[in-house]
Amino acid sequence: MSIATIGAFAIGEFPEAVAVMLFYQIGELLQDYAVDKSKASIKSLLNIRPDYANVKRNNEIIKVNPEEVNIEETIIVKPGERIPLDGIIINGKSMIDTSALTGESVPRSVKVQDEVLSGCINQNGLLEVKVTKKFKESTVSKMLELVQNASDKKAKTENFITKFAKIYTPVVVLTAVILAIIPTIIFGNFTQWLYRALSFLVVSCPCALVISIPLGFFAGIGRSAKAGVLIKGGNYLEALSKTNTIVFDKTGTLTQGVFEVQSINAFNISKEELLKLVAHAESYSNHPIANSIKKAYAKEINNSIISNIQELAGLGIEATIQEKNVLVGNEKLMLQKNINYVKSKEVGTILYVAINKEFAGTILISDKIKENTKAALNSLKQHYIAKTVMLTGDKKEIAEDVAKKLEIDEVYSELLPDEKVKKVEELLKSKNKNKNKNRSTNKTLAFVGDGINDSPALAVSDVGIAMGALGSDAAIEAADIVIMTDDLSKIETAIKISKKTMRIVKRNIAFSIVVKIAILILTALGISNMWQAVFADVGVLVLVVLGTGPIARF
Amino acid sequence: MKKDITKIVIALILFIISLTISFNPSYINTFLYIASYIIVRIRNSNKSN
Repeated sequence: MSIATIGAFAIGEFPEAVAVMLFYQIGELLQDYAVDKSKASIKSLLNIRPDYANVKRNNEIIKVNPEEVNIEETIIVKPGERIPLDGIIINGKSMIDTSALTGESVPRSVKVQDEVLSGCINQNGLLEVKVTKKFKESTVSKMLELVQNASDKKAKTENFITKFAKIYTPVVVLTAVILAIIPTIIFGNFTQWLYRALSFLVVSCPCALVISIPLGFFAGIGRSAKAGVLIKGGNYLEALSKTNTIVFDKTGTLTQGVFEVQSINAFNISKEELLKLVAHAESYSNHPIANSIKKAYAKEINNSIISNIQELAGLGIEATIQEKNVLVGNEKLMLQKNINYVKSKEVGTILYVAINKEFAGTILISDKIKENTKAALNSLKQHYIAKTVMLTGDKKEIAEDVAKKLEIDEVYSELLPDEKVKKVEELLKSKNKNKNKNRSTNKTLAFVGDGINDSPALAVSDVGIAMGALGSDAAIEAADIVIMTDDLSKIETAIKISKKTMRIVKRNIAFSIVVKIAILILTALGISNMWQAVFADVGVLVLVVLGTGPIARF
Repeated sequence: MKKDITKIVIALILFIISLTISFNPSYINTFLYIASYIIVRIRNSNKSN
């Protein structure tokens, strides 16, 4: 641009020289404005940074910088204030607005012993919170770090354009020099050919291309963040848009990851009485199954009616409750104690119960499928995904039951954590084999896990998506994309945004290149002048900048 | 951003004046063009194009 303006001055074309620079600067101003606005959607997240903390020291409440608060100190969060640090409520109850972290607009009710995360807003009650993490390790700091680093990881398209601009500029300058010299030697009239060469230089400026791509990615990442989906860089956004296979971890991702009593079958006894006896028999155990029974009973355990509790390793429990002999355990226990039991056909963990050596019924305990899982998977398959796979360490029959209910295409069960990684690698390899057969296929594989024990699988997949990661540092570290809530439908939202972003970015690239080439040819042939070249350059820039708008409004 | 807008507006006004009015002597026009050019360039002094 500088060469073009200085050249125009040299040949006495003052208005053109000034116009080139003036309109170029107007274009740059618009471009800066658009970039700032796009970054602002990401930066709006930065507003979640708390400014102060009310810390309780020596029975006094002091307003300090959150960075100065130590673990174990007590902070006070008044209604309307932002929670400055992660901690556990020791006094008070309230409703908290988690939308800044999760994108969820429904406030969450919290009470004593509940964990609260920095960045949320306390809506009504006064809360006393015991700090569990230093500010640097708090959720809000981790999120801010992640968002701030997102623009460093560039997508392939972005890298291509950066490289393209590096080669493009010298080629264009050389072409302009040739355009000024060779035709002059052949046809004469140096001033005319120099003017054309300078116009050529003006129109060739690649700013529309160079700016529209990162701008599109900024908008996509910002829009996703608003929906509670944190994408760690443009490269992951691009990879997500190409996803056609999603591998899910079962427990905690598709299911709630919590054992719950699903059904009670009682024989010659009421269900309530059966549950009461079993809850009392299991009252001294801390096993997840015992906990789920106690949770289902939901009443206080009367220790005075329990006696002779005996844990039978690998079998179950024998106890005397209200002077009745109660046996609770698996099939082996029934066989060993010669109980004439009825085999249950249900899928899950079955507890067989015998009272006074008589079979009394079964209790089915299993993990519950999350409410919106089926609808979210159906919608994903209908619109974006070709294949769904489920990996689990659970028993085959339980895995197959869940897969059948959710209509998952492939299921691999009884896998240890390292076998899960191997399976993901196998799926990646088979995908690449298909890719070699059909060169046009460059689809990616995403792994969705709850992030804590799935870190290796999250890392090896093309795109690692961590679900329900709010408050889980491991998930934020390992995944490429972090979904702050447990809502599986957010995957579809993220894919939708990524596809829209890529469509707009590609459209901008094609539009800029086509218009530029057309004007370059017209300029070289002397059909368009420097004024038209200036408007072509600035016009294309303005149009592509305006073109990225729909991503943010999506 | 505000400073940039102000500079561009001033440069644009000088440019339009020079473009629409033919001063006598003509070097006033040349001077206005150069002034306009310098004003917009100042904005970009720490940026590369």
